[in-house]
Amino acid sequence: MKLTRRELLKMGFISVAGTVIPLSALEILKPEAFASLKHSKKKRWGFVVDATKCVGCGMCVKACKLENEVPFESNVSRTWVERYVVTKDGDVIIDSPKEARYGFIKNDPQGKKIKDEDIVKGFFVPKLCNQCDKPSCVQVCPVGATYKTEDGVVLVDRTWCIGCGYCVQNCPYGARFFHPVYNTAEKCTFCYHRITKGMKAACVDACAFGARKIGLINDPQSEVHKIINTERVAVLKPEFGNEPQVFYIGLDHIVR
Amino acid sequence: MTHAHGELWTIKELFTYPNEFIYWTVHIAVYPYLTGLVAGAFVLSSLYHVFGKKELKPVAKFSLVFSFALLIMAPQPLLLFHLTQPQRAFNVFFTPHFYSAIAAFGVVFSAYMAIVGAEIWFAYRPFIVEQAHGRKGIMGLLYKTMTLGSYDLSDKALHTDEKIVKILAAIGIPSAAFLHGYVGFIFGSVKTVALWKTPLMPFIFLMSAIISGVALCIATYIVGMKLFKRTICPDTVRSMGKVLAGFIIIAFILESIDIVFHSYTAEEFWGILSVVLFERVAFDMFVVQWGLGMIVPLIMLLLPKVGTLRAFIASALVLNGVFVMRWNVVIGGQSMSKSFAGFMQYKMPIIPYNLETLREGLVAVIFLLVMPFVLLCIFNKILPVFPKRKGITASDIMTHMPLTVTTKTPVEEVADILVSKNISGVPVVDSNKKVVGVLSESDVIFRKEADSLTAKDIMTAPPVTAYADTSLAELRQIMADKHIKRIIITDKEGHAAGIVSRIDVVRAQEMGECQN
Amino acid sequence: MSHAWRPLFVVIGLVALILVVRAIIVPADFQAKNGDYKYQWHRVGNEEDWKNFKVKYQGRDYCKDCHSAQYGQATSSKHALVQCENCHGPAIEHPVNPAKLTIDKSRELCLRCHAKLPYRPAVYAGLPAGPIPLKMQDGEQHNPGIECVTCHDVHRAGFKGGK
Repeated sequence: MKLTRRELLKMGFISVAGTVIPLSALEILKPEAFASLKHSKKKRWGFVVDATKCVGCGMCVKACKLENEVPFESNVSRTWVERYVVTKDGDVIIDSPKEARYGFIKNDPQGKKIKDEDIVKGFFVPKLCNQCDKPSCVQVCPVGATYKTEDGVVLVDRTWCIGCGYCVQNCPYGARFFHPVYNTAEKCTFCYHRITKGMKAACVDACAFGARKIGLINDPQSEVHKIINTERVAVLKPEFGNEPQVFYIGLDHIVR
Repeated sequence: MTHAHGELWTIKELFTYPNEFIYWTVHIAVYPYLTGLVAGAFVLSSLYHVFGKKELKPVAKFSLVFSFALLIMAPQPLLLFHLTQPQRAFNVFFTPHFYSAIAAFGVVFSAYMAIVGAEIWFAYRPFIVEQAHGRKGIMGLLYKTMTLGSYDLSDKALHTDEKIVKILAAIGIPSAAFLHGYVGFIFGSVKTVALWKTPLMPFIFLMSAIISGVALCIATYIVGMKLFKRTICPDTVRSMGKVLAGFIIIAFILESIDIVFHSYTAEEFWGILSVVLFERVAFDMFVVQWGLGMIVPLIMLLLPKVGTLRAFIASALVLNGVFVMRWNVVIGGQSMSKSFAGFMQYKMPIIPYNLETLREGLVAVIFLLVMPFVLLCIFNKILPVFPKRKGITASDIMTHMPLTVTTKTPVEEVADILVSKNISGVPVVDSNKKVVGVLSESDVIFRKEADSLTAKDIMTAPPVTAYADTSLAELRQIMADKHIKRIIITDKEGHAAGIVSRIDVVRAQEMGECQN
Repeated sequence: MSHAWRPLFVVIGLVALILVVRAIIVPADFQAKNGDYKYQWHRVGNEEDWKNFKVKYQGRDYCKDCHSAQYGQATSSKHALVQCENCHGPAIEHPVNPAKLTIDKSRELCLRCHAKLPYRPAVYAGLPAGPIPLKMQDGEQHNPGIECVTCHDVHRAGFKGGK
């Protein structure tokens, strides 16, 4: 049998493609591949919010805005605290006046006076960017101006953002907004400039009640790791499939 | 105090997340509206070019050029006014991130623009070359540039042009559908906004796009013809009306099925979404968008004898309804907080008091909605969109390439032809294909009885003939003077080119410019 | 057929133009890091930009050396977990920039933690010494109009003049 060069090349190509494609396909399907993803030793920042400890002082919001140069008086913020009050009548009243940058110093949810005895339960829930493992905000950026770092923090490139607002729309948590000065998409960075220097995020430091914790999720020494792996924690809106990396203690079904 | 983007036109109610504002404003309603008009106008022109709907010929070029004018303006709501960093708009071309539904924006838009631009070029090439030869000065230079250096007007080249126009129009239909379905996908894929997130969104957007585009063409055609004191062709209007009615039905089914589904499955967000639909936008949605925008025009168009005025009113209602639909989708979708516990109201800035309210307010919207018409007028100066008004000639109304018989054809065979083809007369040609006579029914009926007669024996000769450029008035005069029922149209060599019968003349008088 | 290709040449020319401009404008380090085009398509240099963002809240170890007395008092009081900068504002590069910090002595600041709210946790469990009741006052009833620091010593979390 005589083969021309063309035929030989063709056969070679088919046999290579034939072996490479199924092998790589199997690689994806291996259960170990999934397992290793879940328990990877990869460096990854995570956050724990213990909502049961939050007293609603709002010092975290104040520190965040000043640390990260989000104009203090502007009505947007990288982090905020929500107040949930449930009354005897079953009404759920939620508010976050001025993102709680001045804290909660009166019992006046949504500006309404409510008698103490009419309240059946109430609590505070601090919110911030969930630094999702599958951030839908990043997925939809048309120009690559927002991205996830290798250690799992979602950042925005202020020099490249065109300001279309698609990421803002696609965040299920309302964590994104436009920076009032730079006019580009803005969000919590987990204080990337601090955590990469061995410091804690400004909001974590500012919390005198230990309601906020930041750390490496896969580092057995970190408190965040210990809490996530030993306590019952929940995430916000898991149904969106974003795989948020801010874990909550003390959530309630009325918290959205 | 530094205000946040969106704060100036958003009114918050109950609990919304602090960072929530109406970030996508009126421009995001105008953008799909204009894109929809592009797609609709293009589809209309393709109905003539591809599917040969002859009664649409008078608007074929007009809707093609109009769709190009709209296409230029369609991305402007985003590029000029919506982006907070408009100077970086080209980043979409430079570092596209195709996981984003809007990354392909630049590519899809440009590709479509290339298709429409090329189709216009091929459709207008003879005109452009003619002008390039005839015009001087800046316009001459413009036309010379527009020829792209090709002055070939040979029959072969013109035939190629025709073929390419047809191909481009055919490619253009799926492209137009893709362009607008794609805009629908941009909304339908936003999983955080309950009103947007439906796989039906691309189709809903596409159908409403087509109805708005066709409606705009009907309305503009009617107004344009009135303005230029030209005849409005009733067949053309009626045909566009039929297209419009058909697509309204599909659009309505899609839009209503979406709402029915949401209410039946009643997911977590239905509680607040139903408040938005049935309380906050109920009038806009059920009265303006569905009632006045779809059901009323549909009835108007389906009732018999659609006239110009009724078609115009129906189109205007559809145009209004589709705009309100875009508004309801964009603004209504954002008006429910992602917290499911509050609402946002959008107050469009009317009188601008700073750059932001100028960019995102009424002034910009008026600019955006007026510009397509301005562009259309400019384009019309360069490439006339309506066929030149000229006297009707024989070539417009004659039956082309008529059947002929030869002088030697037996009479029985001639009778057969007249009966089987259902015609009343036929030219007789000699061996050189020159017309030498004409045979009518009466010649056959009143022939003398004899064996083996041929056409030559009973034909009327010499025949009454005229040339293709003979005017309608002259043809009428000939028929009257000579008491004949048909005139053979020949070329300069005397070969048969066509035949004009009395009914052709009657129809021409009746329909004027609308003759196709 | 030759003329029929001309519009295509125009399109090719425009595409070429965009590619040339792109090559000039897009920073060299714009890439899909780790081959992850979905989540890591970005200008890599921006990571450094964020790392170099200026720190303003320095933490109380920054205050320790110059203000050792207050530092000592505060850290051994029930305010042990309250950062100096919560009331004094971010240190930034104090004492160079700014030379003086503005101290927030308002009632509103104290009430952030000490206002009596029915849903505020009544026990403060954070201290190393163990849980204590969280001191809460009705801001409208408790000596309205006077700054808290008139009577209270914040650094010691007690009354002025007390131990």
